[in-house]
Amino acid sequence: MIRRRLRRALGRARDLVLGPPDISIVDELIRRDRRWETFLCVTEYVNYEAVPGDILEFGVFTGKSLALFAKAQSFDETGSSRRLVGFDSFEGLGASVDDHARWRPGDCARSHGWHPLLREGDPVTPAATRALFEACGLPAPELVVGPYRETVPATIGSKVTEAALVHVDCDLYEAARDVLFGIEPALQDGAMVLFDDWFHYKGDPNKGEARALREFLSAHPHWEAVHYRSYGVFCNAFIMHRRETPA
Amino acid sequence: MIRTRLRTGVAAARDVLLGSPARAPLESLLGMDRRWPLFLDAMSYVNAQRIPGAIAEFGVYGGISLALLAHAQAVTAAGLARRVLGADSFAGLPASGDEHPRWRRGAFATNLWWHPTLAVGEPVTADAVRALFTACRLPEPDILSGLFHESLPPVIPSRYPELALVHIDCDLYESTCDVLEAIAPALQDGAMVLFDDWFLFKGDPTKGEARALREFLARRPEWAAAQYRAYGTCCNAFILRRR
Repeated sequence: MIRRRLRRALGRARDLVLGPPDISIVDELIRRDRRWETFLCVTEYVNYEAVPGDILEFGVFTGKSLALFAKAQSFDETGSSRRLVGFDSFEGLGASVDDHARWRPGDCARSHGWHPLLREGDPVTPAATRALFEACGLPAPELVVGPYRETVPATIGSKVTEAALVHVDCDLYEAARDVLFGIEPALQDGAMVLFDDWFHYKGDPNKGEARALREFLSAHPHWEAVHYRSYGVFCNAFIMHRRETPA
Repeated sequence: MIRTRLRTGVAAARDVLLGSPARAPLESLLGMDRRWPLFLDAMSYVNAQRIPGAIAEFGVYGGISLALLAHAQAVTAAGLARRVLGADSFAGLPASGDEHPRWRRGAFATNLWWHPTLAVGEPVTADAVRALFTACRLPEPDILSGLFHESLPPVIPSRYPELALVHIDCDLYESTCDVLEAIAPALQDGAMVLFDDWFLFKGDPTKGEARALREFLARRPEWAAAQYRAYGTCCNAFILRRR
């Protein structure tokens, strides 16, 4: 609380001396991302409902959505402090049983689309995400580098024991399954789980992230996924409710 | 066309001479409330569908959402006049069987957040709601004070025989049950029912407003609920159809 006030006071003093900054990089990220309103709502939800734990993202890519979560969390007025942990192989997509019209193994190893610091084709690295956070004036996130089936079991239960907000943005069935099954011991009652690629595969519920969640729920009958909302172009959000007696 | 331009020109000249006016309370509300787009869509829906009846809110608190709904009605009315009813105990939350990490009995008896005409900590009253409507230049709403199970049966359906849009913002399972039972005789086929606190209790479907609607539908098979959309941080909207 005091630290936040101090930061605000310092920011104001700096603006008085140097003049107000141009439209900041983080404002530009917000303006260009259609998922922002939902990111605001879900962070407000976990904070208001006092769901304990970290914000986890699986599929960091160039760090834009991770930075938006950090920004959304910075608006919290309830005083909850949450760690931000991003997981990625930083080597692009793995292989999958599902065929997608656009995705090939190794895709997403290089930047595509607008990015405030990276050019089209620049390699996607943990350093690039750290640089983006610095440029946005956000505290550095923790990044866990490697394939999910290795990094998730090595992290969940030790470094990460409680997950409140989970952004699953790894496109493929196999990756989403490894993530969901891997985070289960840390998943909190009422946790919000966002799937960035839910309606890919032409909305086929037997492929991709939709299949991974269905299999997770049948393997864990005490978890219920309460639909929160669909948003953006392909995305869908659920609240994970822990039943007192398994279904 | 010419008249609009003239009016814009006169307003611009006035602002240059006198300084631009402070932002009106209503505009501040529109800018600050994330539910406004849904309120506008929901009122457009009941007006386009010609669903007859009043707008009723249960859980008025400082009156912000009631004012937004009244304004949404004013801009989408298309010739339909609707009464605006707000019901609240103005004594904060009653007791509940469900536990919430932030709510205690009596919570919300005073204003807790930004409000255009009430300071933080001031008591929430029927007069404060009327004052907000005056400041927003909205016609005075009907305000009903008291616990729902006592205050609603004497006026619904006798004074309010038809309800087109219902905003349930009373947080608790018990209060929501009382509201749904009381409004059932007046609820119109195709009415829009907004639940402000749907995903609270960590999204638990066996608590709060979600439980109350599920039980209402089970008790009254003549009603079916079609989800319209989730909105805001914790809210969900349904169209209630009479089978």
